[in-house]
Amino acid sequence: MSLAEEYTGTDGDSRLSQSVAHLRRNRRAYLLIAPAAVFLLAVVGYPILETFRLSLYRSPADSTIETFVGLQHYVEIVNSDIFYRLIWQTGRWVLVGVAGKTLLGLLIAVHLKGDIKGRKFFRTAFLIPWGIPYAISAVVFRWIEHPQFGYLNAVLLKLGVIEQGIGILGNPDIAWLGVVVADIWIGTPFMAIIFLAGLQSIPQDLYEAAAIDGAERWHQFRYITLPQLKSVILMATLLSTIWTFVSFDVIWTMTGGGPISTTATLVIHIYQVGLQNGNLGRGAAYSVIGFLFLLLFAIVYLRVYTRGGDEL
Amino acid sequence: MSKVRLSNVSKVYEDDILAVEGLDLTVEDGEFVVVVGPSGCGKSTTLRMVAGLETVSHGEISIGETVVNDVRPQDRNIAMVFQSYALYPHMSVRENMSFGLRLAGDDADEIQRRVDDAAEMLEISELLDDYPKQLSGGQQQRVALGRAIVRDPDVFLMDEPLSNLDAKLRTQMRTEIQRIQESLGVTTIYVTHDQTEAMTMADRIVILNDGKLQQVAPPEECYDEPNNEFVAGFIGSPSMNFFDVAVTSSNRGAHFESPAGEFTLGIDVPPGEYTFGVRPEDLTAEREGGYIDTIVDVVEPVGSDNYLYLKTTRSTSEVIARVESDFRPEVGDEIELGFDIEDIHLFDADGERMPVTELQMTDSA
Repeated sequence: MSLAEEYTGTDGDSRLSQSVAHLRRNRRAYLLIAPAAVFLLAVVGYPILETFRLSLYRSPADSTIETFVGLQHYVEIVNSDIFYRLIWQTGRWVLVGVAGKTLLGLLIAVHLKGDIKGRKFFRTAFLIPWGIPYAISAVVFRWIEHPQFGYLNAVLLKLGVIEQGIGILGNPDIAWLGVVVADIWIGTPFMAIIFLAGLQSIPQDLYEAAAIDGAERWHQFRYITLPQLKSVILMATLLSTIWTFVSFDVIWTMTGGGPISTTATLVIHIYQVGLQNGNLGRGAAYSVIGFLFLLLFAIVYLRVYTRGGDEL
Repeated sequence: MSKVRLSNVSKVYEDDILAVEGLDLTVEDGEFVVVVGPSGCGKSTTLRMVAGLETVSHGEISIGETVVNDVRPQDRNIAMVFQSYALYPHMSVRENMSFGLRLAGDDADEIQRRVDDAAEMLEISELLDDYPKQLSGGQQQRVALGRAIVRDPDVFLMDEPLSNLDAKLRTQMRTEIQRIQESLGVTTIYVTHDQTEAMTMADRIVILNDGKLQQVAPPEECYDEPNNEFVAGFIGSPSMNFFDVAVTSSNRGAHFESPAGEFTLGIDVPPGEYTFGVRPEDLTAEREGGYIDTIVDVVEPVGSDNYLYLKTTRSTSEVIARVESDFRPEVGDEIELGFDIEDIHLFDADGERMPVTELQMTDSA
C-alpha cells in the first residue's frame, strides 16, 4: 500500500470506484472522443490484429483455405538471406533519405528565416515539390535520370564530367541513390516548413545576446538554434522516418524495386510477396516485423531524446 | 572601461522612418548615464546602435578610441542586459553566465572563479545549477546582470532591465544595479521610460523625444532647469502645470494674463506670448492671497502628500497641486494657488527655456 493510499485509506475496490467516478465526471469528454476512438479501432486496430492473425497462416489468395502454421513464417523469414538484405536496403534508404531531408530542410529553413529578398516567393516555391503527387514526381525523376534523354546526363555530358550517358536506375550499385534523391526532393519541403515554424518561435534577442557574448554565426546555430529546435527536429525526424520507412509509390514508380531487387525495401517486398505473389501469410509476417521495427524505433528514439526530462 | 562617444548619429529605417536624428553625446569613462524618453523616442535604437545590433545611418559611434560603426557586436567588448533578460533557456545559470567566456576560450578555472565571484556579488550562488525557467523574474534579472558582469566589458548597456519586475523588486534592484556599477566602475548606458529610475540612478540623464536630444544634464539640473517645455513636462511626477500667458510690461515687473488668472511678478521678461510652468510641488494652496483662483475637483491622498486636482475659476483648465497631507480641503472649496518666483519656468513660442531674472527691490504681486 502506498503512502497516499494509507492516508486516504483506499484499496483496490475503492480505486475501481474512483475510476468509475472519474468516468462519470468526464462522461462528456469521453463521449465526444468516442466516435474518433471507434473509427481508429476500426481502421487501425482491426487491420493490425488481422495482419498478425494472417501471419500465422499459410494463405494463398483464396482465404477460405487458410492453414494454421504458427510462427513458421517468422522462422523462415529470420533464417532467409533476403531478410537481412532487405534490412540493409531499407536501413540505408531511411537513413540517407531522412538525413538528406533533415539537413536540406534545415539549410533552407535557416536561410528562409533570414532577411532575404523574395522570401515570400521562395517560401511558396519550396512547397511545390510537396504539393505534387509523389508518383508524378517519381516519373519526372525517372525522366531526369534517363540514360539517353535525361536532363542529368545531358548536363553532365555538356560539362564533360562523363563521356557517355549513365543509366542510374539500371545500375544495381547506384539505383537506390537515384531513388533516394527523388525522395529527398519530395520530402524536404515538409521538413523546411516545420523547421521554419520552429525557428520563428526562437526569440530574436537570444541571438542578439549571443552575438554580444561573442558568438559567431556557427556558434549561434550550434548553441542557440539547434538546442532550441531540438524538440521540433525530434518530431519531424520521427515522422519522416516513419513515412520514409513505409513509402512505396516513389520506389515502385521509379524502379519497381529493381534492378535485381536492389532498390526494394521491406514495404516493396511485402507488396511483392503478399499481393503480387499471393502469399498473404508471408507478406503479413513481414508487415508485423516492419511494424515492430517502427514501434521499437519510436520508443527508443523518444526515450533517448527525452532523457533530460524535456517535454516535447 | 571606456568612454563612449556618439557624434551626429542618426538612424533612418528602410521605410524612411527617422528614429534618431543627429545625436551628440559623450559618456565619460565610468559614468552611469540614463537615456530616458517616451515610447518611440529612439532611446532603445540608440542603445542598439551602440551595441552594434542596429547599423548607424549617419554619424559616428566610438568606444574608447575606436570608431565602432563597422565593428560587429561580437568584437565591441560590451555587455547588454535585455528587457526580456534573453537568458538561454536550455543552459543552466552557470552555463548562461559563462557562455561568453567559454566562447572566448578562457581557462576553465578562471571561468569558474569569475562566475562564482559574480554569483556571490549578486547573491545567486545557490542558483548556479538551476535553469532559467526554474527562476523567478527577479532571479532571472540577477542572472542577466551576472552574465554581463563576468565578461568584464568596457561598457554595460541596459535596455529597460527592470520593467518586467514588480514595483518593490524594481526599487530593490535599482539600488543593487547602482551599487554594482559603482563598485565595478564600468561605463554604463541605461535605457528606461521610467523617469524615477532616471532621476535616482543616473550621474547624468539623457532625455530624448522624437529621436532628438532634448537635454543632457545631472538629474537635479533636468528637474530645476529644464531646457525646454518637453523636458519640463517629462521630468517630475505629477507633471508640471502649464498655462499659455501673454506678458506685458508694468512698472512692477511683468504682468501675466492667462486663462488661469492675472498677476504681476517682479521679474524681467520681454513682452510676448509664453508658456508658463510651475510644478505641483511648488504650488502653495491658500484660502486667499494667491495668484490663481481655483475650485477643488478631486483630492487624492497618497499618504505623505495630498494631490489636489483643481479647476481654475476663470477658464476651468486643470491644475495639479501637491500639498502636505494635513491640508485636506473638500471638493468644491475655493483655493488660491501661490508660488515663489524662483520656482516658475517660462518657455518661448518654440518651447525653449526663457531665463527668469528677478527684479531687485520688488516684492511679488
